[in-house]
Amino acid sequence: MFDVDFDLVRPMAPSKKSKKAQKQPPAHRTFRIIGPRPVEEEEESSESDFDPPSPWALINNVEPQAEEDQDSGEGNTSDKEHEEEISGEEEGEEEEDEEEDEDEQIQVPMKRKQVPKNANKSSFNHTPPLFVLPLTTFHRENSEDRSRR
Amino acid sequence: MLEPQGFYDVISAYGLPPSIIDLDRSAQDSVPYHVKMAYGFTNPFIVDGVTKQGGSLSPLKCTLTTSLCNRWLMDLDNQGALTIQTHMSHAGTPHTPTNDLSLHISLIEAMDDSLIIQHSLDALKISARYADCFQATYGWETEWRKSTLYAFNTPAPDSKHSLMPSVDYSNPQSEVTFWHRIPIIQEHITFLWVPINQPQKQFHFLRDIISNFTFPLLSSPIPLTLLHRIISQIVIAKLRPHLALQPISNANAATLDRMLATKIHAYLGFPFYFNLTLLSLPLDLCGLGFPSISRLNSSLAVSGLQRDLTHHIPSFRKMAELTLADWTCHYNGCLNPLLHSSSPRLPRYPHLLPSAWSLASSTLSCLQLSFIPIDLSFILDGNTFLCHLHSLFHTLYPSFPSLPTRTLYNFAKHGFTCLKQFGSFPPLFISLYCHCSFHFRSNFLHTYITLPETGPFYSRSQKGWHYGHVVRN
Repeated sequence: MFDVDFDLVRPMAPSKKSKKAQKQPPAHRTFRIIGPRPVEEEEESSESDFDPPSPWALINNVEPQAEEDQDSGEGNTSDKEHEEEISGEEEGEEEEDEEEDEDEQIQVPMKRKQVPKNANKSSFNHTPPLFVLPLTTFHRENSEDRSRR
Repeated sequence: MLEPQGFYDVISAYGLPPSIIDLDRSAQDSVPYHVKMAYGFTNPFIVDGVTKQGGSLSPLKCTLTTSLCNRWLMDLDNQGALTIQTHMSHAGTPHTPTNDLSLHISLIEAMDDSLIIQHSLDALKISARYADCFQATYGWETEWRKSTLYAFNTPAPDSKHSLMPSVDYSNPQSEVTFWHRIPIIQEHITFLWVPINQPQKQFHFLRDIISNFTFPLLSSPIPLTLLHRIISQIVIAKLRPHLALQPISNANAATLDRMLATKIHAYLGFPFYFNLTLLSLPLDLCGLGFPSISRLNSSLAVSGLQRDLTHHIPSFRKMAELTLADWTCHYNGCLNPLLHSSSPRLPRYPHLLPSAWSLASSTLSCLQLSFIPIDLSFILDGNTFLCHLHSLFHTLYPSFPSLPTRTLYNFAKHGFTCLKQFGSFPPLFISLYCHCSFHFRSNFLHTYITLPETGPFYSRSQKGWHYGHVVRN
C-alpha cells in the first residue's frame, strides 16, 4: 500500500506565476501529475534527478483522443460552465492560460476542438416550465349533498 | 365538513390498528354539547360523527386525510411530475453523496393550503382533477373563484388552455368534467398568505400592519409597561408568524423598527425623539425593553434555517440538504457557506438562493457563528468525488497551480470518479489516534488501469518506479 501525504501533492502543470518556482521543484515532492510526455521531456527527466511520476500519469498518457471526446461531452461542458459561473470570465481565461502553459511545457500541440463558450449553455441552463395550482377549498355544509353521496 | 370516512380510509391504507377507528367512532357517537352563553349554559343537544373544531384531534385527522391525496397523486404515473435534484446531479457530475438525493413533489400542503406542482399544463390538469375528485369524495369543494394558476419559465397560456377541470360534486366518481376559467399569475407564489421568496412584498404587507395599528383610546395615558405589552401582544404577535415564513431584509426590518418607534413617540408626546436603540435595549441594560423587529427577523431566519436542515420530516430536510449542496458546490466553490466564510472571488449570496437563507447566513457571519455538519462520514468512506476535491482545493488555494481539468475527464472516462476507487482511509478509531493518511489500493496499477496500446509508461512497485514501453499486437 502506498502512503500519500496530500500535503505534498503538487500538480505538474504550472501557471505563469509559478513557472519559476516550478523549474526548481522542492525536494520533498513525492507526487506529481504529468501530461502526455514527449521524447524531449523524457530526456530532460533522465538527465535531471528522476522524480517519480504518479500512476495517474498513465491515465494522462492514455488516449489523447479521449480529451477531445470528453470536450464534446455533456459533463465537460457543464463542468466548464460551472467554473465559468463561479469564477466569471477572468477565471475562465485564467484556466485557458493554464492549459496553454501546460501545452507549452509538454510541447505537444494538442488539437482541441474549438468549443464556443456558450455551447450547450442554453440546454444546461434551461429551466423547465412550472405550473402551480393552489387548491382553495371550502367545506361543504349542506347535509343534502352528503346524503346524496 | 371533512367526512370522517376519510380518516378511517387513511387508517386502513396506512395499516394502522382498526381499533383507532372504533375509538374515534365511539368518541363521536351521541356527544352531548352545551353552549356557554352570557346567561349560563344552554340545554344539551346531541351531535353525531363530528370532530370538535379547535380540538387537538381535528388538525391531526385533517392532515392524515389530505396526506392520502398527496400519496395518491404521487403514485400516479405522471409524466409532468416535478423531481428536484442538485445542479451537479443534473449535470451528471456528482460531488458528494448529497447529490444522490432527489425529491419528488406532487402536492405541497400546509394546514388548509395546498399547491399542486407540475411541469406541464396537461399533467397539472390531470392532477387537479384527481385532487378535486378526492376532495369532493370526502366533503371538500374547490373554490374556483378564489383560485389562480401560477405559470413560470413559460409564456402565459391562453385562456382556452388554462381552463382547469373539476368533477361533479354531487357525484365525484362520474366522468363529467366542468371547466373553470382562472386568472394566471407569473410573478410569485402566495402560500399561506405569504408571498414566497418576495421579501420586499412581505415588507409592504408588514408595513401596512404597523401603519394600521392604533393604540387603544383610554381616559388616561397608557403607561410604558402597558405600551410594551400592547406592542408585544398585538403588533409583534401579528408580525412574528409572517416573518417566520418569509423574513425580510435587515434594512426593511430596521425601517419597521423606526415606524414602531415613531408611533410610540407620537403617542407619548415627548418633545425629543428617543434613540431607537434605547427603545429595544433590554431593561437590565437601561433600555425600555421593547421588542426589536430587526432582531426578531434575524433570529427567525437563523432558527428557520436550522429547523429546515434538521427537520424531522424527511422531505423538508432533503429539500434543505439539496439547497445547501447546490449553494456549496455550484455557487461557493465546494466550500460549505454555513461553516466557512465565503471566498472573496465568489458571489456571496447567489441570486437563486432563498432570501431567508441569505439573511440567515449573513446573521451567522455577523455573530461569527457556524452550522457545523456533524455527519461527515462520507469523507472517510471515500464517497467524495474527485471533482469535488479538485474544486475545493482550487477554492482554498486559488494561487496554487490547479490540476488540469483534462486529468479529471480522463479519470472519469476510465471509471475513476470517487475517492474510494483509488484507496481508503484507515478506520475511524485509528484515525483518531494517529495521522490519517490515505492508502492507495495495492493492486491499483494492475487491476484498474488499462494500459495504452503502445507508448511509454511509468509504473510503481514496492521497490520503486520503473520506466517501460508497451508494445501490443
